[in-house]
Amino acid sequence: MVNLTMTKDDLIKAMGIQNFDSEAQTEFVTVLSDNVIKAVTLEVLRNLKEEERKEFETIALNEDEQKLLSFFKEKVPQLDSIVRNKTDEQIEQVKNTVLARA
Amino acid sequence: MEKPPSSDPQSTEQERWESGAGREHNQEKDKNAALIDFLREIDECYSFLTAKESRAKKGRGGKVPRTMQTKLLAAKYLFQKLSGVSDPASAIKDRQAYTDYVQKERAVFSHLDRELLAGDMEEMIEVSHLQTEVSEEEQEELGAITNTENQLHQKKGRVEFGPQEKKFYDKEMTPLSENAKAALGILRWRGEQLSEELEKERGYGIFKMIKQKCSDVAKGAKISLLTALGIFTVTSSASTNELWPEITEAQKSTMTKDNFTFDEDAVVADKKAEEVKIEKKAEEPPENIISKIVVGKYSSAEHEALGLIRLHSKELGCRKSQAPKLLENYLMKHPKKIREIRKSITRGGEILEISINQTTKKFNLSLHGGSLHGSHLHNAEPKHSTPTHFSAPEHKKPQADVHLKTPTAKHSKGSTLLDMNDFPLPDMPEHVKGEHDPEESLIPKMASNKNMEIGSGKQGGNAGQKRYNK
Repeated sequence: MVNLTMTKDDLIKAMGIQNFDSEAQTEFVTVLSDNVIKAVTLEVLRNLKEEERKEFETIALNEDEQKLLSFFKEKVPQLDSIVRNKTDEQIEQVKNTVLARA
Repeated sequence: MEKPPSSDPQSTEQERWESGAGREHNQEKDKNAALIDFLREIDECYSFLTAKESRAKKGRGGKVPRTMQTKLLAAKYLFQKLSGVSDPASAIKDRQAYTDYVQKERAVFSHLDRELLAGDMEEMIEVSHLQTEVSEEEQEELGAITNTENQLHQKKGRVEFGPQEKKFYDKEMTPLSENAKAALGILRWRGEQLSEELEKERGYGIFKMIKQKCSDVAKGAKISLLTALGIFTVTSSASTNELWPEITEAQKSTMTKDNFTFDEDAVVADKKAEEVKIEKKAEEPPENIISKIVVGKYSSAEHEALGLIRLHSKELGCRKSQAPKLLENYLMKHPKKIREIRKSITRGGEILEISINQTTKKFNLSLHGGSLHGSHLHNAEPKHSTPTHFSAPEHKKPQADVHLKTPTAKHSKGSTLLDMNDFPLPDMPEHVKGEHDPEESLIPKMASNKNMEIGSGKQGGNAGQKRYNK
């Protein structure tokens, strides 16, 4: 299970790509991070009702972090586990493929 | 008389078969083989449909199969191909068998999302009752892809992937191993799928908004994954590490509010300029402080531009000569700062736009549509020269107390935005006085010099430009 606070190095270790060159590592981390955010955003959206989605969109686009925090606390209390699960999924996918026939 | 048990392995197998155990075993094997074939067909079907949709989107395909058409087509094809499977619905639901298979052939199937598979395929089966026909052309196309995939599957010792993955696999990264390329291809492929899903859910705008924060991870900053969602600000250590990557811990420890000073040369201000006193309102949140600057004889937009440059030059702890380039690099990495500044710039009827085009690497400040600065960034990666001038000699220290708000300072809480009250702005330089109406902006006069490089020393004969180039 991943931590909610991970550095680039943490992610590299988790994916098992320590031996790759730094350019490749950065590429992996970038794409993986993008995917995690996409997956989490998607999951959050799917957990919201239509009117809540509009509220989420407005708060997110205004970058009002305090409001967003309150919003998540109220509407998506399972956010931590969503983030962990989605990150785990992405990392596992890479790890297993990289190690598939190593 | 009862037959004694035989030690012959063949006869033991025969006995097991006769007793039914072997038959059961073989039936199990057949079932698994059918399931594997079934799953492979699903994979091929998905690959086919996705490739077809992708081509159509790019204008290279024929008709665009919409979601329902896609599902109908998939369902129809599956039913045609699965005629040998007695109970496809239960096979789909056999998650354990599917999981086992995926573990064995992960490289082939890893791009299939299990939940997507389970959920969508059930829906496909439902809609398939509409009995839509698959055209011959589509069958041929699918057949060709199936053959290609089968050939790939037969190759031993390599990670196998479908046509969609191959597209991403072939994208750059040639020094990587086959497995690594496949993994990256799968990640990119999955990213595209997620983007499409986000678009369907009308959530792509939100993703784009938070993407920038996410990319900080790739740059080595220690940020919370929740930060990427815009919930928390970047942690203090992240800001420090990212802004001063080459500064030692000892140096960092000297950068406190009370003792941080820097060489006067680092100030991007005309040496002839007098310091303008700034009203201090310590309790103001950072974004409001910018708009509270006591404006001297410069136009408000100029003050903002100067303030921005000085703000970030000091924040970066850089010398005058390094400031423009570092500012560019800094703003490239922190576009949110641009937005923050922009919010406060709509004063006095002047609107100063500060933008960086990530594609062309062009940094631009413009007023009323005219370009103030234009600079192509030759190297997007910041060259963080170790700032060695954190403490100025006594005689060079600025009159006003100038100190950097470190992330530990008040109301920073991770934010790297500095208190503008700490940074006095210059008054109108002597050489400008008398030449310009105090109410008139200098910036439009600079607008004609569009290609002037920041920090290049080129001044194009425009006196006002010098301040920005210094």
